[in-house]
Amino acid sequence: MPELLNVEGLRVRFRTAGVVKSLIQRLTDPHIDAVMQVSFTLNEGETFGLVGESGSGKTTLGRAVIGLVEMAEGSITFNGTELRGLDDARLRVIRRHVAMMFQDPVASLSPRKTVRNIITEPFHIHRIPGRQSGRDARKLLNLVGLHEGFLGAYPHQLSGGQARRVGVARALALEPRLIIADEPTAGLDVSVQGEILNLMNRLQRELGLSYLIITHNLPVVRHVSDRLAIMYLGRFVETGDTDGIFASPAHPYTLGLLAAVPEPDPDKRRDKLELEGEIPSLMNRPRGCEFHTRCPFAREKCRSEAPVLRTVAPGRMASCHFPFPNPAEAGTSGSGG
Amino acid sequence: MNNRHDTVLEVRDLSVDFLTGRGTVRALRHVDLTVPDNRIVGIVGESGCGKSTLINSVLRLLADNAVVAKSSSVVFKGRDVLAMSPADLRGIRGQEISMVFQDPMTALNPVISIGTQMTDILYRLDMSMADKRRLAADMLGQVGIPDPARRLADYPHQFSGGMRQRICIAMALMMNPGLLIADEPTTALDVTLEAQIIHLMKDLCARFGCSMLFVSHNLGLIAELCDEVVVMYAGEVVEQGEVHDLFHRAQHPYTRMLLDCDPARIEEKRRDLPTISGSVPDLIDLPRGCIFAPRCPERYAPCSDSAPATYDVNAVHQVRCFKVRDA
Ligand SMILES: Nc1ncnc2c1ncn2[C@@H]1O[C@H](COP(=O)(O)OP(=O)(O)OP(=O)(O)O)[C@@H](O)[C@H]1O
Ligand SMILES: Nc1ncnc2c1ncn2[C@@H]1O[C@H](COP(=O)(O)OP(=O)(O)OP(=O)(O)O)[C@@H](O)[C@H]1O
Ligand code: SF4
Ligand SMILES: [Mg+2]
Ligand SMILES: [Mg+2]
Repeated sequence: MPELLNVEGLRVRFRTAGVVKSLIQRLTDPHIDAVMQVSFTLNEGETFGLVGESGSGKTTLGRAVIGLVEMAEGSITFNGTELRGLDDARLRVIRRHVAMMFQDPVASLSPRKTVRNIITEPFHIHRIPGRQSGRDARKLLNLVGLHEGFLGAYPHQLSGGQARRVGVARALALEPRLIIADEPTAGLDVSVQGEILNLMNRLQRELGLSYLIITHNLPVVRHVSDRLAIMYLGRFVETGDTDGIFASPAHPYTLGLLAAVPEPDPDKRRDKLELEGEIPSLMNRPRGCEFHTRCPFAREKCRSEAPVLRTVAPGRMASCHFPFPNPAEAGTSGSGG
Repeated sequence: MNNRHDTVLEVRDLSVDFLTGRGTVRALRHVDLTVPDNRIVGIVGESGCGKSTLINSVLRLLADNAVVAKSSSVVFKGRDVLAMSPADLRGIRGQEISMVFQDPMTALNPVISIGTQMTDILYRLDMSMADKRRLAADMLGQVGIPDPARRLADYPHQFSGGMRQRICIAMALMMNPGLLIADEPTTALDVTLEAQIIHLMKDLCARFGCSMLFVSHNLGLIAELCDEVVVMYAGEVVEQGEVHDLFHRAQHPYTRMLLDCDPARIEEKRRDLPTISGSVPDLIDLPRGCIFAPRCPERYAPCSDSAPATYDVNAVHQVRCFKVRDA
């Protein structure tokens, strides 16, 4: 599969406090790095999943790819063209091919616009004349399985599932090649969730789309993504093939995440949790391995020396001094789970 | 089936309508529900099925356009909530029945310190301020907030999302309530914090001898936490029973389809996920027969003619489906 998106060494930095607050708190550098040293590629027709706890930087990474937040370091290459340094006009042409479905669909849809205006708005934003016609709007609604009667509806008149469909229709307006879907099914009932994921899957097959799916729903991401990255405090701590990661995670954090998902079976209750403790603040990143404050396997080295993201098995990377061995690679040393 | 002594909450034949310009929304119809002492009862069901309306009826917090049917009764520890005076209600809400909400910030005041908010809950108790603060600090410690006595002076924004929800749980349990109602208490959190909070609620309810009514559409959480489960669909309880019966021996076609749709229950990786085809009926214009008939793959002759009553599978497992009657 040809490469569509390549992200190399991405860092996104936010200013956190005003001058006064930073003086009071004696901050020398009132910044946080919401995304740090992130690299990955996404191929055409592929689905890449991004999982991690709340605040780990998933949305920020997605927004950086589409150019909604500035990058402090690194490069983003889309379809062979590096985005940094492009003038606005050329950037705009490239961005037409990347669309975003936002985390909260109802809040992200303007309340005073009709569905017709919402889904044809990208044509205005990208100054594409003659495309606001009813015909295009109807075609888009059709693609996402909504009746034309919805053209005149307002967001508050839509159910959660219908609002997501409108979000998908809008994302499809400019015939993108990549859709960044931020929590595409959060808050939906399981059946409606299935409908939206099946819709996205069908569109991928029909239109050859690629997806970057951001979520903390692990059971969903297991079914829909080809490859996966696990984020912690803005960094990738493990990447690889989805099936492989679910079968045998290499990083203790990944293991903890997988173990935290409750099984819908009262015979499989857990009496002990893998991961205790709270996520550290980005203002105060732990020394050494940034996960060591919560890691049940941490040793002396973890508290002093930061591990780097490195290949631990074919196609698998993890940043841990003592990764779990991959059963396919028997004999590798590890923390011994 | 349960006598009053081992029951905290007993809802019988509860029906609630909402009067709207478009017509009467029949939001709850003939709902029966029992929360026994020291038990955790889960309520599952799709968005709009009436979970919040049920909880709001128990707390008498329904919107002004709501009409509760005359036949309904809601009995908390032997007292009829629907007939209570406003003063008695105030004595119950937040004291004997307490709530934990989805977003902890709806329960916390951003400009008042945690310590003050916690001691305010104890206004009815004849206790010195120093003792109240000691009790508050003890509760914070029980929900796992480090250094609790010092943190009483802090404000909500100085805590993380997970810690705020822990604080809400501490506040909800301060008055030693008989019933804790939790409406999707972990949807704003991620899996590792969610697991921590669920385990915490379970431990504390056991320790404080408190029953819980837990609303969620996360089947995994229900299976992990609850003793009994109530499944709602479009304003009706379609099935209820002991958690193992529900997950392993579900009888109602809706319950079974709901379980089948959960990606967490599908072992084989698959791109096309199962769904329940069709959509939820309009609560203003209900179908004549079984409420689930229009979407039910197992419907047969009686289903479209009249609505099924509730039939017993066993003493603690009830199903609103003709197939159980005819089995
Ligand atoms: N515009 C901004 N200014 C300052 N800080 C920000 C900004 N946007 C995000 N952040 C911070 O960056 C970090 C990462 O946030 P982000 O929204 O990317 O997380 P997320 O992984 O998407 O979380 P969630 O699962 O809750 O959506 C957080 O600490 C957040 O508070
Ligand atoms: N004040 C009201 N006026 C009219 N209809 C209402 C009112 N409150 C609720 N409803 C309707 O009653 C039904 C039940 O709503 P309720 O909020 O109890 O559902 P829910 O199960 O809590 O859903 P969710 O999972 O989305 O929170 C819905 O169809 C809703 O639209
Ligand atoms: S490096 Fe150490 S602390 Fe970090 S995840 Fe691995 S074992 Fe745990
Ligand atoms: Mg996000
Ligand atoms: Mg609700």
